[in-house]
Amino acid sequence: MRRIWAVWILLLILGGICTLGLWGTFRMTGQITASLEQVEDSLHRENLEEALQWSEKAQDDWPGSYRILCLFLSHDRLANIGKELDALTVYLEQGDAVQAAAQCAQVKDSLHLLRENEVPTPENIL
Amino acid sequence: MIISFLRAILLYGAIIGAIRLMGKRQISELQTSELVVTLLISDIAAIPMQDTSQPLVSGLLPIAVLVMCEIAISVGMVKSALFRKWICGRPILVIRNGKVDQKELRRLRMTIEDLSAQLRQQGIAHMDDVSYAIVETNGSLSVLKKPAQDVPTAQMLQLDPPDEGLELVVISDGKIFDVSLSLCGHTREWLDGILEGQNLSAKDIFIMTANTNGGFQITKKEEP
Repeated sequence: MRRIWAVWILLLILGGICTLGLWGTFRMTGQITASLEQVEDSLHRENLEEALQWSEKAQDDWPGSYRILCLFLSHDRLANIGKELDALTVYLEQGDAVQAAAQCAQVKDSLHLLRENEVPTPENIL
Repeated sequence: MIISFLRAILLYGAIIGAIRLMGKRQISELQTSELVVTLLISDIAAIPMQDTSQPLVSGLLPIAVLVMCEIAISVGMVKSALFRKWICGRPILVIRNGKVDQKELRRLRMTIEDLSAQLRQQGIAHMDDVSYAIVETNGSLSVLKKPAQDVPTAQMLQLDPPDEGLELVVISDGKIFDVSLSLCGHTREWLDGILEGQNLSAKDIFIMTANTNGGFQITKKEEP
């Protein structure tokens, strides 16, 4: 009967890991998304310098987020997001507002997908 | 490469831990649910071992869930006969007094050739020799022979063979197992007395067995 206690302990640990993973994913992606929204807002106001600052902030924040997210999510998907953020910064440095806006939307979509795929909806489970 | 190596070690440890946690039932003959879990665990563990882009937790988490479910099911089977019947089914009598129950055989989708092969593997050439044959819930066949065809026991022959009691390994490669000693009903002092009488020490011994009647066998280590 001691093994039934092992079941409960395992259940608690697994529940904790899953909750931590979900919370971590939402928090980390939320931070980066907030920076990207600032990039979008700056691009809308045609302030490329400010957009570049926000993009560089997102780029600086990403390695820290990656270190945590890679414990729960596929490394390939996370690596692609890193590349997309790098490309965004390059476009802003070159003053290409149109490409930067498109790239910003792409990164946001990738982060949104990353979040949505972790939510236990029937579509994701099946 | 190093990551694959380290992951393989970690997952190996996790699988050993999982098998131990699920209990000795996994190591002996498997029920249906246990077979499924064992196969799944080995397949799941291979994924993060081979694909280092997958996080390790993507292998460990499903393994832990399967272990948890398996333990819960085994506890449920102990508590409820009906639950056990749902999960494992029930043993089925396929031969009664030498006659094959064709209806049960069809229900099991077992051919007479399969049945004959399993009987031959148990040393039975004629179905007439069988009193009862039961297909157990783990798929194995248990056979009870007719008394006239069975091996006689000492009691039937009115013999009284000596009871050798339980025999266990008490020293292996120089190491003394106190648990085995106590199971045989002996103490360290008894063992020390035996070794002193034989003019040996534990480190000289390859294997020593002892039984509950005080008997023992010693094999010394060979010279390298």
